[in-house]
Amino acid sequence: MDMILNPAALTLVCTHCGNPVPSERRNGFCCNGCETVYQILSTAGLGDYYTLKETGVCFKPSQPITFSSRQFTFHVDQPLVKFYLEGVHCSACLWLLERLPQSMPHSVKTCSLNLNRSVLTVELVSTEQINSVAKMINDWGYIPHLIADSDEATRKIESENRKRLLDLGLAGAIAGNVMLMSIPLYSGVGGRFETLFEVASFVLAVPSLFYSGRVFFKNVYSGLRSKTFPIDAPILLALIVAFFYSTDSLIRGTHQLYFDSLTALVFLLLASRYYLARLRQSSRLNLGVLDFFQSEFDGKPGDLVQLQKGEKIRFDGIVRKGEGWCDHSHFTGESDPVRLQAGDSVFAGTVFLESEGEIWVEVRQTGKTTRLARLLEKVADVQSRRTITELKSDQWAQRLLLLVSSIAVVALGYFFTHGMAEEGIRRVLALLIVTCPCALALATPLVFSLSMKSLLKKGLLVKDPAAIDSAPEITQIYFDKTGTLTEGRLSACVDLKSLSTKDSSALFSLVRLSRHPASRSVERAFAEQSVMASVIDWSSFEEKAGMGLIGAHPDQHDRYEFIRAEASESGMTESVFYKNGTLICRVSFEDSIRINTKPAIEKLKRCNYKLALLSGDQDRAVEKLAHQIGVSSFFSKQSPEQKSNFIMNAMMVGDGVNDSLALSSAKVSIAVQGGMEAAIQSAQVYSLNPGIELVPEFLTISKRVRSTLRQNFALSTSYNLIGAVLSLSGHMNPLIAAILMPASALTVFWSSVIRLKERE
Amino acid sequence: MDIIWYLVPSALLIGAGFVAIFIWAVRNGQFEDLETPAVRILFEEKLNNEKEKQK
Repeated sequence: MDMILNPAALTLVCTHCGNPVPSERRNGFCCNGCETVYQILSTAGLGDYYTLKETGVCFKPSQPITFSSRQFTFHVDQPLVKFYLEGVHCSACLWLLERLPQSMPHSVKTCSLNLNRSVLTVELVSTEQINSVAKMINDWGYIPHLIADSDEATRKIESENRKRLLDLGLAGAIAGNVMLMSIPLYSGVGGRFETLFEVASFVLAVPSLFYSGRVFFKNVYSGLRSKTFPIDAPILLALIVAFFYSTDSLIRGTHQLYFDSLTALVFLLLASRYYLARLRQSSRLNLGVLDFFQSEFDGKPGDLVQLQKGEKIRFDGIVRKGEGWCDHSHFTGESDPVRLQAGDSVFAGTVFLESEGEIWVEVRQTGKTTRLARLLEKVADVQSRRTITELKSDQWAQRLLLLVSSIAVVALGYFFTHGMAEEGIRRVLALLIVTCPCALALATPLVFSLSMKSLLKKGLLVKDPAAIDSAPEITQIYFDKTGTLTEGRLSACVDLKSLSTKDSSALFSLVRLSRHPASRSVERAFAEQSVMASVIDWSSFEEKAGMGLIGAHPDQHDRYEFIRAEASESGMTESVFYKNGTLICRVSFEDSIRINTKPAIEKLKRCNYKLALLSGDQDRAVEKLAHQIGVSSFFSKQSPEQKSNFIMNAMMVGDGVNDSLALSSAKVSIAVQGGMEAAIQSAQVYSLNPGIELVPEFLTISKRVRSTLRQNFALSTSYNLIGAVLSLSGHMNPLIAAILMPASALTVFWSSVIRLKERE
Repeated sequence: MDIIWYLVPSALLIGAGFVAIFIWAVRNGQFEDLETPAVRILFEEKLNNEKEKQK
């Protein structure tokens, strides 16, 4: 079977969310959730949302989200609450969400949305209404997550930003005023006025250096305490020398003032650092969305809980009564449902599919002691063991700093012994300022931030910039199978057209009554192969959960059975369709390959990457897939621990919790969508688009980042070399150095920005 | 030229005034979200038009 679907099916997009509509749905929506949201919005008179959406600005790639109506059990003490919303992506979302007070005037006083951070701040009329408001937001198609306002990290970042901005503003105002004071000094105003302007610029320089510039003192102090050579040391030294030298000459009346260079330097340094910090923050996303595991299950060990069809299980437990089927695919990557009987274990993070009658489960572990939580903890362990890639530019900057400091000391000694003390101070000051490796040290994180931002625009969320750093060295790429290369859901292989109309109608009528994934996939096959079938009203129908379906025809007294067969030699799951005990056809099930898998694999092969499959699935299934997509090497039946051994120096592309160990051991790891939040937590990069489509893109950008870094290195080295020669030979005074240094930093910044943008 | 004795301090005072306004604006959160208001203002205009039409 050729797995490339009809591309025409892709052009149909969902009226609500804009994602492709699966070919079996014909109503213009990708899922029932979207259809429901559309109806809710239309009846509430908020249909303008869709017109605004067409003309509006898009801020983030929209992600497919499965909407479902649900109840919330949030509890708050204050009427002012903040939600992190999944699914906010464009200006129409802003319009819609800020209609909340109009839609619920008795619950919501005011609300405002921060588009950039997807955070909605709501002022409630009373705290009890939080759950009805959350439900309304959920009904509109956004998944609300309550953010505790006591979130230390966020508040700290916010107050840090404000402090930085205040320092920057003050330093800027002072630098501007000192420049003004300096104009009359340079143009040769004499006498009393000269003293006035000199004193005024001194008074202004004090808060600039000791208040706005206190961050330099802090950095140097903490650097020295941790016994590394702080990158700000020469700058701080230059600032202090310039300040005291100028103050001294003010007192002695020698008119050698550097207050203008000093304040300008403080302002420009703070400005470039503020800009960098904001850039870096904006490329990060709030992913603290793991509340699903901790907060929403109130049971305690020992409780007996009845499982509902389709429920996501939130605890570990043991089945006490009843039988059923459970989907472990998110957990183990195994696409077949697992049978549950009394005495079997169920795990948090799995999905309960269906049961015969009632099924009761005894809760054993909840919250942080579940197997899932412990797996997550192990992942966190691996992460903390991995040393953060020490950026090469940092090491280089350290060496440069030491070199410059020793040159400065030697030069000072030379000038003092040759009776040129004053000239010597000027030259060494200029040297210290002009050779500051700040440009390189700051441009390196800037390059990473910019590339992270442009990757985010494409749909790749980079959690750890080290991934971009080490990706150009990758030659081997391992792919997980289920959910990564494949859709992660079963599809039925059966030629329905070969059946007689009566038989196919019988099959259709059987499977439509069942919620089992295999039955669903047969039903989809009817739509995909455009086979018409009439619905039979069974005189008796029986579903043996997970085993099969039996129906008796009312008129002809025929008995149809659709039964799970024992695993065949091919290793694939099969079902058989019987009529009165005679075999009509066999149906085999497989996980279909994503449409975007093949083109991406071909792109990667063209770039000479070595590709391999790594899966926990059966040999045959893996081999077949490897053959279909043209990958020659594959490893099947791999446990998570085995997987993690393979990939120390390679790139891993996967999803699902069973990959998370492998993902965190890999040199570079990408989680593609469809996996659980755990995979996002453990992988360095997370793809918002399903499938491996963006992997080649990521590798290209990472290579571009590396070449940009090299260019920056060359640029700043030549800057420093020329600057050092000029200042030591006395052709550069400290003011020019103070302007040149940030100017050189800006050239490096801009060249990075242009290089990263030009080929976007 | 003695006016400079008054001009320089008053220039610095005016500067200080603007710094104070800046500090107020930062503390008040005016710089927290630079993107959303730019988008929001477009909608409000549209709503006002609708209301006028209704009148």
